Amino acid sequence: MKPWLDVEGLDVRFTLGEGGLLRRSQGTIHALSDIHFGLERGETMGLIGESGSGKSTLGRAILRLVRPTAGEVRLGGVNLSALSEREMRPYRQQMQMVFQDPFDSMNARMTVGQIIMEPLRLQGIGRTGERREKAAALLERMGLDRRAMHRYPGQYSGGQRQRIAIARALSTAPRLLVLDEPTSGLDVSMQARILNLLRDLQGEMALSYIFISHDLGAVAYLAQRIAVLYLGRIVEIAPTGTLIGAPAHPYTASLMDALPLMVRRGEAAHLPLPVGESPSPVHPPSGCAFHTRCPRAEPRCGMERPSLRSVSAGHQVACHFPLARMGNPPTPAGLPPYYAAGG
Amino acid sequence: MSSHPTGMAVNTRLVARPVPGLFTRLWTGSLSHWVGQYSHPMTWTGLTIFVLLLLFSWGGPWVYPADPLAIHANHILLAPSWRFPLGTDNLGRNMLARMMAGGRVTLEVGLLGSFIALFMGVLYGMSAALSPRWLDKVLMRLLDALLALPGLVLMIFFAALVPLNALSLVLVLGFLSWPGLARIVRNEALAYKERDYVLAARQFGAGTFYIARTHLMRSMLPILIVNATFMVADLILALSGLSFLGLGIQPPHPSWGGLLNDGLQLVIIGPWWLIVFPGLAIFLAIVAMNVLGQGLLARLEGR
Repeated sequence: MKPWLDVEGLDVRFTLGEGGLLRRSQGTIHALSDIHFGLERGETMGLIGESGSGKSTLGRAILRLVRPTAGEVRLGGVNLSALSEREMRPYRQQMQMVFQDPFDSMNARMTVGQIIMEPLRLQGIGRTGERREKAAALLERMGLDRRAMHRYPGQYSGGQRQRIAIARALSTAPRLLVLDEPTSGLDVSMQARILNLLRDLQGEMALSYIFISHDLGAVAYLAQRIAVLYLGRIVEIAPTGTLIGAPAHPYTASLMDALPLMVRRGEAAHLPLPVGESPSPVHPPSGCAFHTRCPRAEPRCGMERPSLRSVSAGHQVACHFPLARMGNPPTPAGLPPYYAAGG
Repeated sequence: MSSHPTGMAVNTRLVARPVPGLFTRLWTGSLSHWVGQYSHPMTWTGLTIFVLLLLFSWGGPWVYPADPLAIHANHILLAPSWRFPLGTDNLGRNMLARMMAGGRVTLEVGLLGSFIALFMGVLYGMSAALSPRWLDKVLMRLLDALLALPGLVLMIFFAALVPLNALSLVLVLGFLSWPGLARIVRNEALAYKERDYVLAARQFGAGTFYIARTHLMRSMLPILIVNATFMVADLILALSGLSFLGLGIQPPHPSWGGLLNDGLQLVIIGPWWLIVFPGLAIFLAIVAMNVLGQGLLARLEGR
């Protein structure tokens, strides 16, 4: 049985430089390589990784805002990758996106009403009055006054704008929401409000989320499963509790080191943070891309690329020398303590 | 709470206010937002001068009806007087009437020519920004070539080819003035094209034309308005320059540039009113548009 959203062998390359009429391009970035994962209705998949790991590109490639070079994205059995832009249009109702920067994701010269009604208008859903009513109802659900319809986004704060962006994403009653770091530009209390709002909305509307973030705490709060990306590849994918309680990839373990102790829950395996910058995706290291920063690297790691393999049920890791399971049994992810206060 | 003449405390919040009418709602809504956003003393100054010039040229004949072409052989080169407020020229024609008629044609060419230039510039710039990269490059190199040609020489060339009347001058000036604007539009469009709200619109299923019309145009409207005002000033100056060279509006029909040229021919015998008034009008029109544009620009750049 195939999952509802099925990503298979997704590959995205960008050509660098101008590559114009006379000049030759200066190389390619392999932004995503051979991505496989599935997502069920009502489920949340977390994507974490450093900047440049390809997590935003993955979100965009699923929505086909970025053209994949290879691979397939299937939604409810329909192969979206095979559709033309025109054929794709009706499917766009089902998948929406919330962007990281609420100051860039909406046109400052449109009123909030126009912004929320834009997807409805473009998809030809409802008549003007119905759209207006729907937009006002969504605003109220987001905890905003319906008089906001006639105001401009410039009159609102980051948190309010992000709620307007969520209202816009929900206007077409989508099933899948790609959340591209929706909380990273907000202060902590607002982050908690947005996370709680997203969790409530998921229950009300049976939404599936792809939650992209570099904040493991926020991801762990919403996601049932987490995929860790490093230089365009999934290096580990596991249920949230397993990933936090018993990470198998040294990179994941080192990310745990960045988490506050309370979230980490006891003495789960963790390694010191990787030293230095993430290597350039134009010239990724040979073999395992992490071997240049891995404290456990051995000669084999520089020569042979490890493929994803199962270590336990639903837990896959791409490492020649995965960390052994430690003593603590995985605990299901609840509300990380530092989010509890603001909610 | 405030106190009432009777000494009783009155809850002012309960006092009925008139229900706002359509205009009030419009004004307190988006209109006042826009006006407030772009209001600047320079904008108002420029706008006022320009509106006064428009009133002078089009409204003037209602107050002071006189034939700009009628020759009064007995009243040659009269200084300003009650009968001829701006004097007469060497054929005894009424200078005030000629200034009004000249203003109509000058401002008309400036405004309509800018409109054509604006349209062409937006069309070309948008097309370049939204085409595949190789086509954008070809279009931009072509634009470089157009920009490298000296404008005045081209205008003289075309002005020598076509019959010189207001319509042909509007077309010549309009079609020769857009390349600079096209570059601005293209660069603005490229910058806005990468914004998240354009990506979001694509996610909602928007096509290229919708994005250009709704998002890109809306975003660059202010900068377009600013450039349009500068364009009007440029074209008034260009028309005056052509008229001055004898390639503008042909005699006996007046234009501000032509009147200035006629006046300069007679400068040795000293009729200052033939030089000062057309010169002042051209000066005011150009200053008005530039000040208006500067005021808008100042607000745009957040000054």
